[in-house]
Amino acid sequence: MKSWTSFSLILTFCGFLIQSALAEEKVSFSDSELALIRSHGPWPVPTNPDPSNRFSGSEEAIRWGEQLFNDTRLSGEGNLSCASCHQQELSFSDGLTRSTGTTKVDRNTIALANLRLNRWFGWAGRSDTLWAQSIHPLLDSREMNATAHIIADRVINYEDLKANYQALIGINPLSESPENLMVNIAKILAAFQETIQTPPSKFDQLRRAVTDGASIETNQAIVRGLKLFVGRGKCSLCHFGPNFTNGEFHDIGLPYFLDNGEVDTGRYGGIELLRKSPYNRAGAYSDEPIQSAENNPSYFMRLQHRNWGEFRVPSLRNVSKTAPYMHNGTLKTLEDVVHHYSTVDIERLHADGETILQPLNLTDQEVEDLVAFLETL
Amino acid sequence: MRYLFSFLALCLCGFSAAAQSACLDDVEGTNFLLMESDGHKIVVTPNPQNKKVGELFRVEISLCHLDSEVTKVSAIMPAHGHGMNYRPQILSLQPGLYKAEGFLFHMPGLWEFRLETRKVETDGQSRRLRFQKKILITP
Repeated sequence: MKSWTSFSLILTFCGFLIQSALAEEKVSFSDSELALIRSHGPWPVPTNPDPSNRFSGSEEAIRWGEQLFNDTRLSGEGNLSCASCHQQELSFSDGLTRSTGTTKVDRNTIALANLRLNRWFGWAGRSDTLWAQSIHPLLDSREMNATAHIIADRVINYEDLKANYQALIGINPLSESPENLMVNIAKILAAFQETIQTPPSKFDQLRRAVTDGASIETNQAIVRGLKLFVGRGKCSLCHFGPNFTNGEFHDIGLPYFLDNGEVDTGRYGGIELLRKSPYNRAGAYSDEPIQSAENNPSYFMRLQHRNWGEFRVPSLRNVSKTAPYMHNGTLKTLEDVVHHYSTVDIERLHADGETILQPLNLTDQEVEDLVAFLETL
Repeated sequence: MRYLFSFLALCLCGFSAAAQSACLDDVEGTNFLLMESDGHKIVVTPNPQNKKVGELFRVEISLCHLDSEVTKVSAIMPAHGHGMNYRPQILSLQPGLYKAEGFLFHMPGLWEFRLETRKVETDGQSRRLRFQKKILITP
């Protein structure tokens, strides 16, 4: 009995030694992996003002936009602001599974950052501009529960709001239609939100080290995680580019039933809503010349059956600070997210789902490595 | 008026020359895409030429000597089982020369460009040709 115990101990010790040796093995990258790593930078990405929003990039609009972002007077009951859910100290998110305004909504609060790089907004991409997306929570009865008339009344009746409006827009709010006034307020809110950017991260240093040979001391677990991310994990295909998103929509096998038994249609519903919306990029409220607006992806968007159950690929920049994860906030930690992809049930995918999505069957060590890498973003 | 006609004729010649030059057989190795079906060759020229993931682009399609019209254009990722999230619009510029706007490849990897032409024959029968060619979109 004693010899068996000793034998087991020796075996365990050898296993530990082998695992340690493998763990410390120097990681090398193929040319295609290096190309993907390069594509994740440089950071930050230079951006231009939004042509559909005449206040985009205006210092005055950004300043007032920040005040309005924190102003509860824009909500129906005067008790909620954009910052109620998009809290700066929580990376402009709220840490909750699903957002709660006047009542609980169906989806997780998206952390606001690097928004000027998006071509679609919201989990279902129901907006093709940031200012249009900013209108939805204002009007949604479950969120801020306002109306264009309520917002117009507040701007007209509060002296500070009225003075700011007149100074920035050059029009007495009394002579504006409520709809125009609300759109202008949304554009000013967008001007501020565009300025929320994540700083260069530890990953950006690692990227330079790996691709340009710059020296960096880093945990090998992170480097192994990076290799999984751009290699076997194929994460980079959807979480592509400097902002770690291809900006599009995919079905990743998450449940899409809502509390009431209805289905969250995801991207399918998003396209339908955008088509009906008067607030789209080529619409009457946009400041962009029509020829330019018609040369944008949203002009060519296509409604497909496969869009059911698809949700926007979120950016992974700053991801360790924006838990919980996924459109419905059901995955609490990055470990949960990695486990999801490791054991993804492809039977749950929509019939036209991604054939590239297969369970990764990661070892515990690989899960740890991938999480260590994600934490550098 | 005479000058105007001359100017228009010159423009037309220029266009035809451009279309014709895109039909040369030695376009391999350039950014042209030479596609073949049933012995017919057509040439597709992307603009901008260096296609990047996530960027909108258009193509010019020269049917060369094929007397047909372009009826469908699309692109798919065979390994992923999906196509583009966008539907390009086809515009006829002149007989045999088309423009298709609204292409966007949202992932790096191997894409397959697909195109269909149709000609209604004198007996009322439709003659369709399907062209396809793989394109590697690098990160």
